[in-house]
Amino acid sequence: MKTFDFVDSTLRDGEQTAGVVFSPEEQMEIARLLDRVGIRWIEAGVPAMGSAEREFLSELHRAGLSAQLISWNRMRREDVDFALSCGFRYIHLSIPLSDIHIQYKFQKDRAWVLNQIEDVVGYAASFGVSVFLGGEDAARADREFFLRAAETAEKAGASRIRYADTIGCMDPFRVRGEMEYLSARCPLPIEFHGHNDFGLAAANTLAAYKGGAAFVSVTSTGIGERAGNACLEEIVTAMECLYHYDCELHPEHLPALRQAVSKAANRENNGKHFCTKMN
Amino acid sequence: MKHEVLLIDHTANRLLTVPDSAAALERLGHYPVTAMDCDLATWSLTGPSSLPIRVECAADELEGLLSAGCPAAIVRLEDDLEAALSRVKHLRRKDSAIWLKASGASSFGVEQLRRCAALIRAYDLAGFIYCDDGYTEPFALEARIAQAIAALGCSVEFSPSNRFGLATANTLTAVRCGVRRVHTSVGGICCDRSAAMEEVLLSLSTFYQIGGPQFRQLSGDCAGILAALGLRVPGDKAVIGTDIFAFESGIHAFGIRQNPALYEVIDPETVGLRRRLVLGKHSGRAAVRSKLEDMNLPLPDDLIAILTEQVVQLATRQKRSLTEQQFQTLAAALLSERGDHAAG
Repeated sequence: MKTFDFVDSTLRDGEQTAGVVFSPEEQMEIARLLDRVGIRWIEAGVPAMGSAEREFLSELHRAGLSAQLISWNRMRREDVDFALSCGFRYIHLSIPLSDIHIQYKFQKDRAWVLNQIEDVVGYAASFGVSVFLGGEDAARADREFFLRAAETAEKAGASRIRYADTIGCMDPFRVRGEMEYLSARCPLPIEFHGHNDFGLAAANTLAAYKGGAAFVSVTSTGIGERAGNACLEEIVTAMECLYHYDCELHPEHLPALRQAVSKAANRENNGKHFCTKMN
Repeated sequence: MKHEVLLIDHTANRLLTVPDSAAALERLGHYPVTAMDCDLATWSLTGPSSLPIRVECAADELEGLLSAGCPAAIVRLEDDLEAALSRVKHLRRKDSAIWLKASGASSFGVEQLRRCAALIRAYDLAGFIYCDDGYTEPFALEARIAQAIAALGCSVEFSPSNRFGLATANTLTAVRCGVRRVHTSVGGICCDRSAAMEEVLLSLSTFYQIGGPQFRQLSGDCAGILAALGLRVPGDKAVIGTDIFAFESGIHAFGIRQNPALYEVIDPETVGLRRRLVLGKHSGRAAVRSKLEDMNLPLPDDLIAILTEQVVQLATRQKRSLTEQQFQTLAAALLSERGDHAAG
């Protein structure tokens, strides 16, 4: 097991982008290409989305990929049931950790969030699957509460926590500082999930690695909500060239992946940056 | 760190070579652009300009450039630079300025920086342009820039490459270290020597309270400038893309309705854009209901459920989100069906 790795979310955060629709055939092709690139963790989709999605996700489990498949779910028991029905062994359970989200989305408080985590993580873990806590909007959360959530999840059986900069409000210096502070205290390995609203997704993702994050989320071509996510192709190259880190991937398959994602997303010349889009 | 940051623009080098670029150049003037860097070929084509132009040249071209009356030159750091500088001493006017441009500055040692500093003092050069080749990330850059500023003792400009998508982050790093002049281009189109202007402006304002906070013409200005070059802004381009405030997934659309700050880091109007609810494969009933409210088309709950299903099916079939027209047609059909039943 590597001490640092990528979680690809092209099929979840990428597909969730406004205006983007992947057909089941395209989803399968992208999954196979991610597997060929050597991606070890694929966030494959949202089982609660509907029966068509679940059909694809079940089929994906029969496709014989080497990658581990993660399902994205809300922090709800019925979402866990949906994920299990598709055959998932890795279940990501997401819940907001910032006060603004807790208050406006749920009209609840922090204690309620901890209760939900204890209940639903415990429920999922009782099926013997691996459970990951998704800390939505962690970037605006009190970091002591982030740690409380991690402790609660760990006791309930979770084995990883995601720190999501959901709205893309961080700069690399803050990301590194937060990751250093949290990874020294957090009982669970941390995954950093960044967005590109200021054009800082790549820098923030590298900063997370520097700060001790054990995983980072990426998407092929950087496709994702709003201005997108950290770009897999860019991060892999930067990790190898700037940090001389061996990603143990097969970059020769990245162009095919990039092409498939651009085509499925209806985005010609898709690439993270304006200049690569145009040149 | 509350000081002004000035921009050195690289877009103009392309703008000045296309016809009818006056309006685009005027748009550039809305931002703290202090100079436009051009190459020799572009300069030879241009007349007087409202923003100061600086012309980049090789050491052996410097004499010709100054003889032709160029008031601001950028000369690349080369072996024969000192000889060239001493040759042109008599050509320099009081108001003329020469900057020293150093490629690969991030790999310079202290000795090399000191030699540059000596050159700058001996020939009264205006400043040092620190060009990073893109192989430096913010944390490594921080130390390098600090070292350069200390060793040079003159005005330092920062010119990044966006090789790994780090140009904006590296520019912020330079500003944190005290650099006040940074190289940008609209949309980051000159990605080997500049960061995206719009990203730099909004980041400086948001993270460090430098400039801004309102840039109500930014998206329009950038789109206009790029259109003059025959370029279209990609929908998902950070800060200026028209899709960056579009929401579709059920969870986001619902949250945005409750409080936009849940999912938006800035108000769209800050950069002159608008929030947009898109209906597509990921839409839920809450999104459909709020779209109906926006369009003044109230529908009973049972029809909203049916309509949501139809929206998802149509989006899946056509592999894209629905146009307003498509959505309206679906809603109207459901309503008239219901009306027919009621009448019959």
